[in-house]
Amino acid sequence: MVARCCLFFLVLLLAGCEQKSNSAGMDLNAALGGIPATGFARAVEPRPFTFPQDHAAHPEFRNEWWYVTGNLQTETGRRFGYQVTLFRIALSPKPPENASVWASNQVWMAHIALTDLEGNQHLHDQRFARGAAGLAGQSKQPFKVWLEDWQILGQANGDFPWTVQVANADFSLKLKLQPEKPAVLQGNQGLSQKSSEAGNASYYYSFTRLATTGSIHYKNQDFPVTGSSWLDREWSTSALGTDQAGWDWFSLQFNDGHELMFYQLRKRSGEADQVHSQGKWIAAAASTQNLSLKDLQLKPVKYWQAESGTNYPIAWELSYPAVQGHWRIEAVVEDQLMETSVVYWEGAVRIIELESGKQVGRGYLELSGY
Amino acid sequence: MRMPNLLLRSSWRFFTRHPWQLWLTLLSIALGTAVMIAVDLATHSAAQSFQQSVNSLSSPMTHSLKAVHGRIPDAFYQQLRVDWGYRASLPEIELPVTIQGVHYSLLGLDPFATALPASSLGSLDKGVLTRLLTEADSLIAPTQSGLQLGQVIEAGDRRFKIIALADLARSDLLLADIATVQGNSTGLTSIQLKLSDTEAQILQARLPADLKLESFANQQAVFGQMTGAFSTNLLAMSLLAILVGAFLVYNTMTFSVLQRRQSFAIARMLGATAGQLFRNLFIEACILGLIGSALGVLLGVFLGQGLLVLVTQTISDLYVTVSPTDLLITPAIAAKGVGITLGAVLLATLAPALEAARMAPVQVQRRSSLEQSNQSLSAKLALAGLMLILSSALLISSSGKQLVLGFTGLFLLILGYSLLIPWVLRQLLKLLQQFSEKFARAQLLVSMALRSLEASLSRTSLAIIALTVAVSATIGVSMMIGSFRSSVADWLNMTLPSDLYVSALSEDGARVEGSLQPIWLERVQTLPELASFSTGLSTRLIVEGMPLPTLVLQPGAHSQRGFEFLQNTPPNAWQRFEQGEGVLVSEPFSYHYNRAAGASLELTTEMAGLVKLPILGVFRDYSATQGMLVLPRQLYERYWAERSISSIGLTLKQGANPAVVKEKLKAWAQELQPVNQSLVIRSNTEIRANSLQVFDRTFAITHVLRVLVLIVAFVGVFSALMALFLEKGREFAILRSTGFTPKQVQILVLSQAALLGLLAGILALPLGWLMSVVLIDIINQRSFGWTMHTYFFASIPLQAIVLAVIAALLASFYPVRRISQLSIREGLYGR
Repeated sequence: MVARCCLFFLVLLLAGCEQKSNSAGMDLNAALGGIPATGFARAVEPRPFTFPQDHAAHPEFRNEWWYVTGNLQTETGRRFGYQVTLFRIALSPKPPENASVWASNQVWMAHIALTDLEGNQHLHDQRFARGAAGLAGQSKQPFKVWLEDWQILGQANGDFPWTVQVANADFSLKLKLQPEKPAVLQGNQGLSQKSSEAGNASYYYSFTRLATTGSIHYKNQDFPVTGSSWLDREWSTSALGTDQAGWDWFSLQFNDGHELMFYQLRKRSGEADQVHSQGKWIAAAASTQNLSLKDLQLKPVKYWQAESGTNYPIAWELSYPAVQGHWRIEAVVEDQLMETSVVYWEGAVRIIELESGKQVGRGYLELSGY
Repeated sequence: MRMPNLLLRSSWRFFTRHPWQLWLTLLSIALGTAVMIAVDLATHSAAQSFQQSVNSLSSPMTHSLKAVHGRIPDAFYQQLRVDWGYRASLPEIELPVTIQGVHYSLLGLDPFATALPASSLGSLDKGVLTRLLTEADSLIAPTQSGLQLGQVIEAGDRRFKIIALADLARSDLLLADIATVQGNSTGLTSIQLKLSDTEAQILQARLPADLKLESFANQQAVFGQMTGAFSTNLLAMSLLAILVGAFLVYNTMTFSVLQRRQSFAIARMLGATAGQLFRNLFIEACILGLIGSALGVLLGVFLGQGLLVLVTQTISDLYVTVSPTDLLITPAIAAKGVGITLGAVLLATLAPALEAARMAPVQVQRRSSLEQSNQSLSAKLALAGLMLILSSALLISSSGKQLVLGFTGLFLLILGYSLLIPWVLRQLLKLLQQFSEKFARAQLLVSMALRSLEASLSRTSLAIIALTVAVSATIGVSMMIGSFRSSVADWLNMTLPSDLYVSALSEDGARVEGSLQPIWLERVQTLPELASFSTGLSTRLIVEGMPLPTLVLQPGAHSQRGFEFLQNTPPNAWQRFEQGEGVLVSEPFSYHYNRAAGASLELTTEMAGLVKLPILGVFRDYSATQGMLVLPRQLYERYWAERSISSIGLTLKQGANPAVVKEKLKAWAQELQPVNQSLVIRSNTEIRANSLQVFDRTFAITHVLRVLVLIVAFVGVFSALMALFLEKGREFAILRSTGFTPKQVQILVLSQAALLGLLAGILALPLGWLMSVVLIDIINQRSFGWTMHTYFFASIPLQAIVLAVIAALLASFYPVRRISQLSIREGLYGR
């Protein structure tokens, strides 16, 4: 997930413009481009992570996000997928010298989505706000990140359980998240190198399995739900090289207690980035194994065409020979396109064991740069 | 060659042989159109400018939320947007900025608040928004404004820098981040919202009392209502120009027909039918009308630029601040101008064309029959005129508060009076002849001049009518403005009973709507020179559901002098007001809302919801056209929580020097008032002078229009007299051959011209007086709800007569010069 977010912001901040913008109005992404990296902190070496403190923001870095996805079901077995993401963007290293309550160097963006498997529907929404005038912001103790009334709330000491609470005209979510496994430090002890240049890296940790309970309000109905979520936390100032075009990112939770995270970076030439594509295999007992493209085989097997004509690979075959794993990863709903200011495909997937044809897990897939 | 072609060619020849006549005809048509177009354009553009300022970004927003007094607290926005969930909301802070004499609106907004339409912000270059958010005091200026990238703009004590140019929705808009504009101040000037009617109602119900929600549609409607009377007044003036122009076109067309009697007779003898002749004249009028009005549209756009400045100035002084924007010439305005002009020209041509077509070829040769028919016609016209004047009186007296009907009555009066003029002229000339025969027997020239004038009335009376109407408009309007100005001056003398005023100003400095620090009251009372003081709070209260300018007054011993009570106000009104028993309302309020002393008003209060309060009295006021309310402080504090004041009035003990006290107050101001709240200390004489300045600015446009009407009339008189005298070339030649010297003939012509001018001037007096009465007592009251004293200014009628004589004399200079150059032979045998 590191990669997708980095690339995401590469697009957002530098207006990479490979992405199609759907906004009829002012293109905030383009207009917000060009924030120089000078003056911000850089991720150059591993650092100690302390929780719950590190859940809160690190404003000395340019970008940061809280990225929650999950698969949920009602008592009767009706299934939903969801995404709640808050992004923090610092426009300058220091806050402006202005007494106005509206003055801030922090801008917040949030994306939310709900996938209804039974209704074959995907709803999504996006908001922006400045980190001032009570419109958006964060706090350490109690832990809280919020954009207007979309918020992730922790305990008074900043720790779990967290409550994710979002609502718009179409749906609302109120979910409680409790980790079943400790935090996984991605990359090298949480330092995730994105391209060869020093400092082009982020600090990155994940909670790969969060027991989730709560309710979804959707189509005038309340659905009490339970399920499993995944949290990615990452902050950085600069990351990727200009030759990288997009990524295919997987966060998979297997029924037997394993998790797999992998991102495949794609170069502008179309080939996969052999060096920087990477991931992690997390055992049921929480021990981890680093992954690179050498350890896996990844192949798109089905495409879905968006209205714009863009084809997204929404089903893949993934092999991980070290554990004799051969799976098909497929979208539960074809159209899970996020038509936000940057257009990408992000959606719930199911994991099918190729040999038996049985479903062995669920997860989320993100496709960007198409 | 076919007959119609022949006729058209004959028309063409006529006009090419009389180019001055062609040009003057075109000029009077063009001028009439131009004045109308210019007025239309200016009022239209001013309204457009207001509309843009209401919905500053032409965004999809529908409502705006403002504080009744001052700004909206910053924290309220969070409540509205996050807690109440009104997400289609855009916070704004707007500051007026003047750069090199050009007014701009510096608009600070939150670019993340709503999806702003791309059109309103133009295409911002990469990173511009980031710079706008991170660079101190940065702003975007419109490309079309001519402002330069990097230019530093000063607004009060603050400096801003232009970091980008963009195609903004308005050319008078400077855009910045909301935090940049807010700086050290607090609060929002407005929040724009997108709401359905139902949503608006729900929001209205939960809003605190000091915030008001208004729909853009409603604001535009209110603006239309407020400025409607003003626009109607301007429209009436421009219609007057058209009316005068139409008289002149009628005059010129009649004249050109008369001049071509012979050629028409020949054409008829050659076989041209009456219908062909009529059609030919009509086509001719159409072509003249089209060319003239096309020229008028061009001239009108040019003239409109100037008028727009005056119109926006007046609207800003009287109603709401609007900044002059680009002139918007729409096809509709142009078509309207051309259409009305063309209609007037064709209507004016109808009679002469019919006359020309109806005449038998033989009859055409004789003028006498024409003059005779004209004589009996003038009596009929006079009768019709009387009827019109009567119906005008009926219409005005029965039309209630209708402004448009009032103006219709005024126009009927002018038309009726115009119809009387030929007959009155004839009688006057006859009288003068009898007079001159009795007492000036020796003066052959005098009686010749009189007779020759009477004989040519068919051609001169229209020019005289035009001149009369124009001059009477000058008299009427001048009398009205003069009376108005004197009434206002009297009123100002009375309503400023204090010697000195300390007032806190609103952000744009235009209104006394700021708030004074409470310590001012303590300080003021330590002044040894102080005799008494009063305090005022200028605010807007919801009266009968509409926001109304209100003065909350804590009267001092001298305050009663500031009120001139009207209309059956009971004698104890002031005592009851001092005891806080009710409110006072201004005359325009009483007029528009139909409430007199003794009636009651419903006010929306903070503490007790709807409260009914009695009207204790009605006072004269010229400050707010929509009316105003004066509330005793005591009553205000019972129903509202706010305790601030915006002004203090001080009267000084006898012998105290106001200038010294003013210096003292100024020193305190430096110490007491926060930097960003401006404050003025003015003596009553300064306020008076300032108010009269505003008054004069308000009527500048009326003066300009009056001059334009006069110019139209002058052009007409010029062309009519010139045609008349030139046509008399033969008569003058006969006079010369019988022994008159050129000088004598010139004197004859000049005295005729002077006499015409004098007659027009004298005839203009009664009409001018009638017009001033209608304007003062009917039009003004219906427009603004103001009554005023009528003042008589002897200088105005004198000026008017001199003006008419000068116009007529000027018009005769060219013919007089020609007479001396014309040989007798040429004159006798043709031109």
